[in-house]
Amino acid sequence: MATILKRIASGNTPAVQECLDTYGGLVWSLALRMLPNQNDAEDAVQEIFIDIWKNAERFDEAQASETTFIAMIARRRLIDRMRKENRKPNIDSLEDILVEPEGNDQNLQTCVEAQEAAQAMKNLRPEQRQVLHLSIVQGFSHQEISDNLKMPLGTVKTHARRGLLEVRELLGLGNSDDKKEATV
Amino acid sequence: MNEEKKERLFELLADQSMVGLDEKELMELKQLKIQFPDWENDLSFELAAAAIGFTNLDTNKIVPASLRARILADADKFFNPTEEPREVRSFAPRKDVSSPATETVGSIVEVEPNRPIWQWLGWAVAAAACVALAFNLWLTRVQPTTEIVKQPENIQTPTPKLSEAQERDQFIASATDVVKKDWKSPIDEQKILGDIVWSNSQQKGYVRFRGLPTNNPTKECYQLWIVDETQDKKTPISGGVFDIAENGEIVIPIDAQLEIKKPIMFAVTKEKPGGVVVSKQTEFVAIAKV
Repeated sequence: MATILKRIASGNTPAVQECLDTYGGLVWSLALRMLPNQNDAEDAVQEIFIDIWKNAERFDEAQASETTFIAMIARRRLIDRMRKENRKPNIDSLEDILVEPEGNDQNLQTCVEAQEAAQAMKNLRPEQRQVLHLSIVQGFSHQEISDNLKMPLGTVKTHARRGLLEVRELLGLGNSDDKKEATV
Repeated sequence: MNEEKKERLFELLADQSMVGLDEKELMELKQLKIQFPDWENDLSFELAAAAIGFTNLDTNKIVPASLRARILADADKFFNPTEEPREVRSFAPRKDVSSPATETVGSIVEVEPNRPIWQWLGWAVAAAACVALAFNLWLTRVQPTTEIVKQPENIQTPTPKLSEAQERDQFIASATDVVKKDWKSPIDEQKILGDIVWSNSQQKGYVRFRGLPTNNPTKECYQLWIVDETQDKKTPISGGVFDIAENGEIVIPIDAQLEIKKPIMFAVTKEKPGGVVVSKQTEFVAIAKV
């Protein structure tokens, strides 16, 4: 059977309900984590699902799982909303985050890429892993990370970029030529 | 020079996927992508960030019912901006598709257009005995000894295969947990006979109808719904869409879009061509409570 997104792209409207049932929890969880209140999160989730339907035909199962593709679309919208409204992530303080244990395996079954990304993160240098975690998982800006970690902004950016390139490579999303050229 | 530009391209792609870009940076990225067209549609950085973003994510959170309803309403608007017909299964020759359907329940139900589907249950149970009795009498006294199921003549079968009626019979014989319920019409004078069989273990089933009015596929279609106890009752699960081009008996495999955990009712509504994501539940044709 074709993937849910392929069916949506081909105009199979009942697959929309399946999409919501399958990925609603994922999108809702991402929104609640990145946006400060439930109303904002609800508005964002509505927008995200419209984005998903619009982009369904772009999904390439050879490149990534449907789960990761949908999470990517959700993150785009959530980042956009956070930037436009200058919102902070939905957590108390960065200090609290820093003392939380990382790499909880509770939800690593989400998809293959989730497991591989978790493994890839373990292979990074500690400072890269920390910056990536604060930036991508917790939604802090590079400036906020710089301020809280007392780390120069340029260094934060370098750790984040190099760490992401490394993970991208380990997930098989890039190639060695890219890596040689990308020395950010 | 090119190396520096490509390095900058990677920087911007990485930043975009982690924290987003401002207007100036977006313009810069756009210009760089023109110079490096291979990267025009690259998603690799965003996909990597999305995969990292799964860390510690509790995906078991339930979307609030009100939000779910709003999303499905959005979907209906998004996917049905026009009345253009979509692909619908047809189970008989369309030689008379232009003729109007015979009496339907639409006008009756429209009196209370927003009445939820499950509110019909009480009425349906009350009517069940009469319908079941009539069906039983019809089956035992009117039906020929050998049950003949009309084959859809316009469906091309590349290899010899069982008819849907034969598949249904095999299915009933093979599944150990088959639930069989008779269809009931929401109005007294409407004669809709037939049944629904469903197996939870096989996630498979069939609906069978006799005397379901023909529909004009350019204007409407029939859509099957499954109300699952574990799902929001306002948004039952679609079981597929179909057309009826002539009266007689038809057997239709159920095409459930989601796993059915505990079905409590099956229903058929009339919807716009191609079906809908969420039914307005204004034109019930048949219901079968499990």
